[in-house]
Amino acid sequence: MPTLPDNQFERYLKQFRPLAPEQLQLEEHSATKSRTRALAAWGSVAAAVIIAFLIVYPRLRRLTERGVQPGSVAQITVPQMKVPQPLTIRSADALLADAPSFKAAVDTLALPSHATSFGVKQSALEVLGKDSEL
Amino acid sequence: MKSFRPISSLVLFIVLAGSSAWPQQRINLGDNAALRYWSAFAQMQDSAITDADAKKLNAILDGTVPYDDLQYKDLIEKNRPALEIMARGTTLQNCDWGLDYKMGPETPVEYTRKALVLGRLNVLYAFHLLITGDKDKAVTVLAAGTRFSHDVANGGTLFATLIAKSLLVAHLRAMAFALHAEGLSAAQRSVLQKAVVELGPNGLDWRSAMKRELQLPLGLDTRASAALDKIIPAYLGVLSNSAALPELQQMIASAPPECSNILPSPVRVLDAKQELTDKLREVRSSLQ
Repeated sequence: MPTLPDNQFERYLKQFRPLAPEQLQLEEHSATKSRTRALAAWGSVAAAVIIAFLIVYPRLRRLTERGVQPGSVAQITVPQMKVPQPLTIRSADALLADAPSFKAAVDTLALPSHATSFGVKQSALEVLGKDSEL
Repeated sequence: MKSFRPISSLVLFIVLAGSSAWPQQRINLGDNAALRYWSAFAQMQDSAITDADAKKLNAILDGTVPYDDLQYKDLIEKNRPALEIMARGTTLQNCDWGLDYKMGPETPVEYTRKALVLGRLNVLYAFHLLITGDKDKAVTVLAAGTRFSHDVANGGTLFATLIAKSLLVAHLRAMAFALHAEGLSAAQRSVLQKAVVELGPNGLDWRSAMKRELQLPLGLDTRASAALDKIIPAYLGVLSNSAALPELQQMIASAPPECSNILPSPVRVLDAKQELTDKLREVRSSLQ
């Protein structure tokens, strides 16, 4: 800018007019920020759900293919299933005493039915555990 | 000083003898078929089947429905490693399930349930081998299964003996099928014959099992305990002389309820024992 005498400089300054201040961008900026945060949160939740699914699904699939093993995850989470107690001489003798035959006693001894979440399928080993000879 | 030398030599001898005996003892403890069987139980693999398949499976084991290899070969294939481990275990002379009878009626016998499953899988395996024409392997599997079934009763009470009896009958039935339907060579028959001869005339030691069963500490009162002490020899006697059954039944009927209620029915025990003896006699005569 050229160096001007005082009066000219004053005139020069007077040509400037105050402008109405623009609206502050603060609000919009914070809205964008919170939107980003929300998106990030949802993204994390979605990622967590996907990771959990990827971990759980193969296990569930394996269980469905095999049938449920006693003490497995599926058996623990289904409340109506009977969990077999460890067999002792007392429980075995009680079965023998209460059952109408030795065969019936061993049928009762067999592993509990845990086909609730797997349709009509049942465990092959459970069937083999049900004796028909005693 | 003179007397010190023989004493120190004696001490040295005892120490050396003791230290050489330790590894020997460790080897003997490891040579326990029951440990191999537990290993086989851990290897068992389950499979999902329908209710109809389940009924069919039981009928096959009862001998009323023919074996269908297409349906069960996958289950057998999955369990082959477990069955092979079991068969290796049967080559060992000693089978100690390590039952802690100091626990009395709370003694765990979970192994009997697992043994029932594994033994019945072995019968299916034998059928599979017979159907696919591998008779040599089938008779080996049946012989091993017979030995395993017998081992299940080792050192056990009545329940273990009943499981063993059930498995033996299933194996003997499979042997009868192999003899009649498949036609075995002299060498193959000899393998089965050896397995059956090893079982003895009754197949299982019912007397020892009942003795262990009846001598469990039950915490009975003096009166019931005295009655049980009289019943035990009579019960064991009936197992070798069934003519004494009415007398035993009378003793049980007149005993205090705390005593009579815990006794297994002698009639059922005798029936189970007789069924196995009959089946053994039948297969033995077919093998002659």
